[in-house]
Amino acid sequence: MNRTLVIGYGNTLRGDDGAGICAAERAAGRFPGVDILTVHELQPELVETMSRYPDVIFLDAAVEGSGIRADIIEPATDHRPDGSHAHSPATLLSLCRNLYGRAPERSLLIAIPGQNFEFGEQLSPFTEMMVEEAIEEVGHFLKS
Amino acid sequence: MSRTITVSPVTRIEGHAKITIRLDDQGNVGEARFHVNEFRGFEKFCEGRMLWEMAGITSRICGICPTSHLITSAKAGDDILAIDIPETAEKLRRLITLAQWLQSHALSFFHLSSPDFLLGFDADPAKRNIFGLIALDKEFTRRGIRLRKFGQEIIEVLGTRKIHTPWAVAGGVREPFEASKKDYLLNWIPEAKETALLALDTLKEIHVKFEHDIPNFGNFRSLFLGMVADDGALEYYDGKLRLMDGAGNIIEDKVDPKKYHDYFGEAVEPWSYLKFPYYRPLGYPKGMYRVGPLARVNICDYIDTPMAEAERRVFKALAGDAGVVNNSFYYHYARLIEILFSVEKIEMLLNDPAILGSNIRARAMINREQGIGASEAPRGTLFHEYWVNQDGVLQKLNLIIATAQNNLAMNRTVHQLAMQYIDGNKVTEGILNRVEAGIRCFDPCLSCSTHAVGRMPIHLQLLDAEDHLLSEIRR
Repeated sequence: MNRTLVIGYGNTLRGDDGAGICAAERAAGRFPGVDILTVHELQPELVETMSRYPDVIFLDAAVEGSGIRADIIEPATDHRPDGSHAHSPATLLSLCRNLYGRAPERSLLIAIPGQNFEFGEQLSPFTEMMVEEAIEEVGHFLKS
Repeated sequence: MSRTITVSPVTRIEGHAKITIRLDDQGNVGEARFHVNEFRGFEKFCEGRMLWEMAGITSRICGICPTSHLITSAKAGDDILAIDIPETAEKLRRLITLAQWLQSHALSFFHLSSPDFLLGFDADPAKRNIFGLIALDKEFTRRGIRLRKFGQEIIEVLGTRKIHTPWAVAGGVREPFEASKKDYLLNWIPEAKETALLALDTLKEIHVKFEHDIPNFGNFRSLFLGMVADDGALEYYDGKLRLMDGAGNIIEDKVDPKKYHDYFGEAVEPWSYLKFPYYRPLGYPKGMYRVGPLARVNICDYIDTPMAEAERRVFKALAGDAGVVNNSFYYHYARLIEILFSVEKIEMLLNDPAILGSNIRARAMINREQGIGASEAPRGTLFHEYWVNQDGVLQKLNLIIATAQNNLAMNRTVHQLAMQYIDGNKVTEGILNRVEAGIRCFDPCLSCSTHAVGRMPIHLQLLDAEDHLLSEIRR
């Protein structure tokens, strides 16, 4: 499969924490070569799907920062799970490699800064702007 | 000098808790307590919300069993509307309840408890996790993840998302079942059955491996509570309550869940946010009872699916002359029997033409000012009781959660394990883990019961009577 998997995650009821999901949903309409998953948190059940893709992009909200941050993610080398049912992108990649013998060749985590994480389904104006930048970052990664 | 051992937080459970064990001057175990030390207060902030919002709101209580709250809340709404819901809606609610059992039980056995069982209670905690399991048996781990995924897939097909779906509502459900998804879900069945049987075979080997530990894992007589169908079969959605004692005698039977407060009270202790439900006629704390898989498989007369029923008979043989299996370690066994039952029953429901109906919701105005819903959540019987005004605005609510009903038994289990393993002067990682594993038998969901958030590495402290730190272990 030559398509790219985009995983947006977060809590859409906690304001800017839903930025990753918002960005993933908007990306779906702009890039024909991507498949989108939106989830509340990263669980081991995603690993089997991830193992079928050469590239994966994670979109998440960040508590800190004033601009988009895009980092290449490698599988975690410290084999300690983050918790009982939610994991970091690096741990998921490691699970993917260990369980299926392969992981996406390229993995990118795009962190979208938020300002307001209180109850509510609206993004702050600042994070709305950052979501658009995150989608541009998705485009750059797909072209690279 | 007396001392106190503190285990905080307890790991690989859902939520945040700690254990304290007080030692006397001779180093003998005195008091042992399981504390739930976080609070979220859904019962308070839901006041003022509309009845029709409650299923969606209360499903947010938990990320593991949101569907159980969704269904139970919708049933409380049915009671307030004073209506019978359409056949299709009931069967779809049954289907999603079974999917909830499947995914939650798979998480408990494969993700949370198998590291102890397959790698050992004394294994390096850095390896006693899912990566350690992968190194030991990749196929077993993969199957466990896929079994849970099957449950989540059903929930997503019905509710359009894996967690926190607002799909059920007072009067029925919001969306019908898409016929095109039926074959997709049915294709999972053979693999799910194979995995359930594999897990049962593995657990029987575990029973042999830990034959010396098992007798200490919450092995005591108590009452058992759960739902059964009118003919005594295992029930999960809409049965009557049955209460059995630790000798297998039926104490209460055919009790309407709407009368639960005539039979059960709730005590509080200053050292825990988790309430202590008890059986009123015996008082507190003598009225201790257990709920969940061990209770359900113990109290039912039979299971109406062939493979699970065959396994139930093997399970019941463990009871011997007692007539009931009293050892809490066998929660795991009962949980796997319920996984098998869920898979078989899901297959039956998916093949039932009634689930494809389009009449999925009955509508009515507020017809009662009080209503109660009950169902069997993965961890036990769940009750939602609501009081509304004529406009359907919540005036008051009471949620009785499965984990709270096991609170007395969990405390008793901690005490029993501490008595067996702690000699007062030496607290090792393996001992610490056995005490935690006693709690994990019950698969407590503290997020539901109080509402806890957060997770930290484990921290055990030995304190003297004046709370001076004597020694500690962290991981």
